[in-house]
Amino acid sequence: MIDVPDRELVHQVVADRSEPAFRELYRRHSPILFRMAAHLGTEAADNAVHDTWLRAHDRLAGFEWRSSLRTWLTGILINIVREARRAAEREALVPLPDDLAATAVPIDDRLDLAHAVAQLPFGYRTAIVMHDVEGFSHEDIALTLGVTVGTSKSQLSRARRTLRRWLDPDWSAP
Amino acid sequence: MTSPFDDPDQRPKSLARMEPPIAMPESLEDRVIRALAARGAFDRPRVARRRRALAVAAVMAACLTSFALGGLTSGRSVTSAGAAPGSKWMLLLYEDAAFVPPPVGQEATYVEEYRAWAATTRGQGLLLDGAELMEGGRLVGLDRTAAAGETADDVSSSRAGRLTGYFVIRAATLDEASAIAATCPHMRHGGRIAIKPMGAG
Repeated sequence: MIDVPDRELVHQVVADRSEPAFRELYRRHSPILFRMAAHLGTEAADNAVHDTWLRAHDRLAGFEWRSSLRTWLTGILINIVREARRAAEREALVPLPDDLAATAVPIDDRLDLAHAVAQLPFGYRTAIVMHDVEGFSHEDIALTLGVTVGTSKSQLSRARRTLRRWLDPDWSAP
Repeated sequence: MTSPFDDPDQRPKSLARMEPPIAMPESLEDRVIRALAARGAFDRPRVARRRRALAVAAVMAACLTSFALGGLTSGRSVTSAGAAPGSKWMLLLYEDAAFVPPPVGQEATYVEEYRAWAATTRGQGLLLDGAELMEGGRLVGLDRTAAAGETADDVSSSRAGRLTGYFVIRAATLDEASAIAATCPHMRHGGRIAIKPMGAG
């Protein structure tokens, strides 16, 4: 079953209600979903992955393959994480003020890249985690978040600028 | 020279190597599967259910044979064998869609698990009886139930699933009975066990 394409496995899950096919999809895609949830700062990353699969299964029959399954699942995960954090975090795609990079952070945090990423606003963090940590293309990010490729790139640049300023207070933007 | 940090099409190595702060729990897969199975998401083949039923029947037969050979078919025998006296409890075994049947060809694994559990529990003087409850039977009672088309299987099923078997155990308290039930392989495979105190008769 390892060599069976995602599309065939999805067909088996939808048409044949196949548990083995679903398990293969789960094993294939859950590691990246869990890493994403953990990097996005979700306290209960396992709950986010759990809910992602349940929501994905409900919608699997209507999936139109305009993106890869991985990209589609990641979009569901991000929505679930965003819903869980909505009350506490800023919305993912609301432009953030340019002077955010000047915001002071505790000195100890500057030494810890992962901690610094975790301090980023959710939208910036999503851009960093999807592109730089997990290797999504800007095209996939644009599909997932419903933005243009240009917006994805500019969001990433802003996120990196903030991160860099936090990690190296002496650094100045070119 | 341009740093990878300055080019949005490149991935800075420091970020590409970043590991998540926690590891994914192995139990998550079964948790997801159970949740979806409870919604009826999977079509578990009838042949698998049939083979599982045969496997469980074999376990029960093995248990009952052991009781007969060991002379442990009554509570009195257990007490006379030196086990601590206490209340009797009935463990009602339920299976719903979340119950994971043995994979085809691996039924013997389940048989061995149930057999080992029964042998251990019996050896501790805690297991008194047990049997599989087969499908079918008849519902007798007031006309209203017959009119509603209910069967024996209907009324022996509940939100916990289909009633498929029972064990009778000896335990001093409900907590002790619960602890014994928790060790039963039925729990490990996604089944549920209702624990009922039995009267003195």
